Amino acid sequence: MRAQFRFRIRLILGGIIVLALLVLLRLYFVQIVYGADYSAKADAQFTSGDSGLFDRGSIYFTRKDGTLISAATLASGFLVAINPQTLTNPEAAYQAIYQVASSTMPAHGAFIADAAKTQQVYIEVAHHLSDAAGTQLAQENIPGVEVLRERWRYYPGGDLAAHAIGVVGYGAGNTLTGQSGLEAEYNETLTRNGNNLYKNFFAQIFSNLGNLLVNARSAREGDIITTIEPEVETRLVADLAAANSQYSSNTTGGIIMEPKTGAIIALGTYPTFNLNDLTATDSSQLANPLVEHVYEFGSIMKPITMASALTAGAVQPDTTYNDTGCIHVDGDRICNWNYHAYGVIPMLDIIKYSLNVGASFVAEQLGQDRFRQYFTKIFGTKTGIDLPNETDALISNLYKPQQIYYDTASFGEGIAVTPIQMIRALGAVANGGTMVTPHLVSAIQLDNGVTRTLDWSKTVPIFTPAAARETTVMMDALWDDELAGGKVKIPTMSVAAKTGTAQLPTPTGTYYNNRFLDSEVAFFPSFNPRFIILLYTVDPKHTIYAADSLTPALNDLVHFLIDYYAVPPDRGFATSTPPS
Amino acid sequence: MFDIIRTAPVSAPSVRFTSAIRPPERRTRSRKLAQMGGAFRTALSRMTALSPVKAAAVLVAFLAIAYIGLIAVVMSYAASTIDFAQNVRNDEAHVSQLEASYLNQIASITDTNYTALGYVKPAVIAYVPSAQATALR
Repeated sequence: MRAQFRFRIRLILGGIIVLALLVLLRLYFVQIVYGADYSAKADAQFTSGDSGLFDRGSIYFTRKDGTLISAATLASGFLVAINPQTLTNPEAAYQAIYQVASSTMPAHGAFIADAAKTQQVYIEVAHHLSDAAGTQLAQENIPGVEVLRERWRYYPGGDLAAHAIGVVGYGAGNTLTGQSGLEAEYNETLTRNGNNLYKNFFAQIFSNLGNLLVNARSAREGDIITTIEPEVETRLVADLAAANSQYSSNTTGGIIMEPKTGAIIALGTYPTFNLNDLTATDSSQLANPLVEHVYEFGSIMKPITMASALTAGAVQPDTTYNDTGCIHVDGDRICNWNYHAYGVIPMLDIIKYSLNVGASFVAEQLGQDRFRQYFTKIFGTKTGIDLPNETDALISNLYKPQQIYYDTASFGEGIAVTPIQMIRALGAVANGGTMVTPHLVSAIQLDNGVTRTLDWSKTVPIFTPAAARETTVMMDALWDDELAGGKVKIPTMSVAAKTGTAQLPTPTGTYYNNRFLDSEVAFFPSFNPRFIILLYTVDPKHTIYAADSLTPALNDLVHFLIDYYAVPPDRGFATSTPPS
Repeated sequence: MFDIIRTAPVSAPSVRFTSAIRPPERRTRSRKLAQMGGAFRTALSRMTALSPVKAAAVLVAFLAIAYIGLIAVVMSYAASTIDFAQNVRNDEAHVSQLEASYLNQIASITDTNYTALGYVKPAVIAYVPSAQATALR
């Protein structure tokens, strides 16, 4: 009897153990293997839970004193949704919602049509309500009207650095991701999955060990800190807008960079767009011309040609040539901008008077192979800037045997480069011959509290320091003696500059005679530069030369930067110690 | 499968001492210690006397209770974290409004037409040396 009893007990116990094992196995499949699917199904049952709120990292400007100002952040408010199945009085509901959300809700007809869709239980009708408006509407307790918490991407600067900051959008999927600019480039850092919290401790352990230990989410998600200074950015955009409006240009752009580090202090193009309201913005406007479009910049290429030739030893600063005003090369005619013949002049005058004939002479002295070698090293690769869709330069003409292509390339025609490539190349002249890596983001503030500084120290030596200095002397003479008749000269600050006026290419491969791209570059103090500025404007009307269209804007920016950053004077005193 | 091993209760070791030598309280404490040791040894023997099936059942029960308890702890932690995160985000939203106001002020200052306000450019600009830079920047 006793043995029989024992056997039955064991049988039942065995059955319970088998059952328990089956339950555990099922638990494993439900919670771990199919946990994400069930979690998604559960979320889909709710109209708007906390886990559905949009979340994304912030992008910051950096003021000169180090203070962070949000360039992209989140705004919080309410959305209004209706439940057509329980909405008893659509007209009254429309009036009540219109009082607090007239700008975002649909028209009356569309609202009534939505209210008639009784097969649906949730239709959003208004967004981005303020806290006060949402609370007011919620207190009215209108049947069928739901007021729910909402978060959305907000850009405090509006159109400030719009192309660089970029936008978020749904793209091809159903989640908001970065579509352009820094939003796209750093999308992985800025994206938040919204499931950071341990909803199931053991599921987290088994399924997310990778995220916990090896590639912890908090160690790769964070906020990004840019090098853009908001007040300098505002000033730049204002000057670009003024120049663009005055001359009715197609587009006007500019970049301000620290030539020693590659940190970009300001960049922008005009026309621009408001990041908070894209309804009137064509998708083609989202492209950033500073990295995605190439231009033939014209004579601001001459310092590159000169520095290359000086580095190669093809010419010396005191080398002279006979400027005849025009020359014939391979059946084409190359002339100075004013068709003047300057006679026997040194290399300095090529930059100072912007002589195409002189630039052609330097290119011929350098030789095709070395010319191609230098220009390929400078423009043959992308800059590596942390913006998406950077375009390669068009320098294929440098692989042709005809000398005309090298002569025209020497003064910036026949080859097309992006503005960011152009400022990086000219920054090498300012930086003692070394090209830096332009960048917008200096650090990432990770969610785990660590601030990860990005390393942009990679440099490319191009010119010798002596060649860079000699070229700078030539550009310095241009600002002091030639530009605006010498009226922009600053007695206590040396500024090195170069203007460029290039004919715009036609669709058929020739050039317009009456449409130009004006460009201008300056860096100061000339021999220990703190900033380099590049401006350009495409197809300005009522003017031809960059000296007219861009010098006022450039001069304003130079003075603004000197004042704003208190850049100390570098000349005007006999010694470094001012007399008492 | 396994018989419960019955052991005789362990009795406290007998200690003989004369009352003239040891005070009464020490005698009581030693006896209590002996009794506690005996009870522990009894419990230990009883535990070791449990079958693996019962031990597994006890373990499963403990794990189940611990699991439910951990879930409760984690869920309450998650709820408080959600609430805190929402508060942080709300504060950030308020700060962003202030930042937007600051940037609008900068734009307004930049766009100010000083000529229209009556300011004129200086007729003469002179540069003079100073002992140190002004602290007004």
